[in-house]
Amino acid sequence: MNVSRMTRWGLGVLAALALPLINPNPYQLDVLTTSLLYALLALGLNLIVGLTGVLHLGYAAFFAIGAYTAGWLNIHWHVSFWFGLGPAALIAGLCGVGLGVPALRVRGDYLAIVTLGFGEIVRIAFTNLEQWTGGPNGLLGIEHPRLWIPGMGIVDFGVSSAPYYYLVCVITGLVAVLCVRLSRSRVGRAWIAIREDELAASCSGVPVLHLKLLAQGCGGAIAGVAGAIFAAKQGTITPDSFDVILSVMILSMVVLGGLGSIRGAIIGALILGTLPELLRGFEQYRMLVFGVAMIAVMRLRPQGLFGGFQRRISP
Amino acid sequence: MPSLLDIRGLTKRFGGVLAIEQVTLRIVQGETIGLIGPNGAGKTTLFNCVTGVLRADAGDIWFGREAKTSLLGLAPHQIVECGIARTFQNIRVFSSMSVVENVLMGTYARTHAGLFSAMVLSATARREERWTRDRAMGLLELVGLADHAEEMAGALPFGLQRRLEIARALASEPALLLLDEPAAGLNPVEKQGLLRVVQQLKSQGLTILLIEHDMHVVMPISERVVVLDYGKNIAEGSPEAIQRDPRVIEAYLGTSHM
Repeated sequence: MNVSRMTRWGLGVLAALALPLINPNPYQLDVLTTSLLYALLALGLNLIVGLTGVLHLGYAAFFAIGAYTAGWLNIHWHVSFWFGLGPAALIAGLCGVGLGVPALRVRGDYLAIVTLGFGEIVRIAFTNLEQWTGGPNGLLGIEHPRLWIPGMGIVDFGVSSAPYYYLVCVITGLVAVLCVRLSRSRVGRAWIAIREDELAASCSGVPVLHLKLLAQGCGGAIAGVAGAIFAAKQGTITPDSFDVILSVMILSMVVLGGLGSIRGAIIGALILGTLPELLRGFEQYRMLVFGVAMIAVMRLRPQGLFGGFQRRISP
Repeated sequence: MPSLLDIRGLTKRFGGVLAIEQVTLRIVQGETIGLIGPNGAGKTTLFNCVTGVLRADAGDIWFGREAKTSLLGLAPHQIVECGIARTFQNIRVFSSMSVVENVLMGTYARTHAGLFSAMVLSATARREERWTRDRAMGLLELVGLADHAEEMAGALPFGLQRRLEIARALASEPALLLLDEPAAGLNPVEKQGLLRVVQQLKSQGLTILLIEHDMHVVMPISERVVVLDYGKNIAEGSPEAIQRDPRVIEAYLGTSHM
């Protein structure tokens, strides 16, 4: 890493740290936290759709599985937020692999339908499995995270905005670094090769099905972590937080940023996460402006803001 | 001489059409064999069966030292691990990856870095990455693409993409290289360049099976030529003998040449 890049990174981290001190407006901080949580989800979906090129329309299901896992463990077994992160990631990741085994045998439009169906099945299952999930009322009374900070003692995150902002900053940043490393590794290259040309990839020695499952598992695990954070932040989770609109929103973030681009996934999420709030001045025309802006970007820059290649989603 | 590849009675049907029927082909270690035949003779289908892209309906494919490993039922990536690499008739480079990354992909079957070592940037993973990059650069040197290493593969001229495919195939350290019409669509200068590359591989002792239409490419480098027509073996022999064989002239070059 050269000096100018280090300076830029340093300034970025400093700006992120200082933001809540400069602007302590809890509403704005909350919007930013939610957008960063979307960015985490977009990073995970980017592994599946952006790098590997497998279309997935039910990604919110993994988010839900992570949230319910962490929430359930907290309520019934009093597992703290920090120890709930691992199981949430693990179970959501395993669900990713588990869904992949049957789903990856179908292609194209059919795969889109299967993943869409998976997302809906998970949501409806959480609504109906009342004895475990609390049904439509969801899981209530999930504890907020607590953390021992030197000099401050044990801090309960409670309902304030800044701690969650820092938490999501750290985790999203960490996952982004891991994603960059992955995408430049042997495994990441194989994912991209599958997206580019599945037949040529397999004839170059890549076990295609195995690597697609690996991508689904990693993407699922990242959504699981995001879900655990969401559950601890909200304190209450209900099935309707994880509907198909959320899956489509996250996909839009990845596509807007540019498929396969890690920077793009984060910026796409920040734009789509904050834009509806920034457009509140337009009152009832808000979503119209939002939609027109999306169409304009896709029309003028079909490869996305940071995408280096043309869209070619194929399973 | 022990054979490296031994194909016996291989048959592949597409619905009612017999794409290849009872094809037999034996390749000895270090040989270069030209596989010729008119369009639709089943040459590429044969390649696809050998590389696991298609599943043969009948017959056997044996490979390896003394041809003792059966390739039937193996997936393409497992066949690469066994030591067979191929190129494609219609070029299939990973176009949004750089040239050197394309070659790195070819090393997949011979490298080990997994998910975890990539995330923690382990010393072994970094060492492996350096080693494979050096190897990839060496292969690009061999095919004359070293100056283009960082360019996007999709932006390369057609002729260079063909060479890139060869470098990618070589990166898997194959014992047998299958080239599917490597000279198709190349201009005479590019053809000569390609011929030099193949000749060099041959002199290094690599076993090559080559599908080619252009006789000026097949004849100088092949020890033996195998001719397919309508999915069947119709002739086999030295390039000179094949050029004089009336069955071949009729099937391949057309009756007007007789």
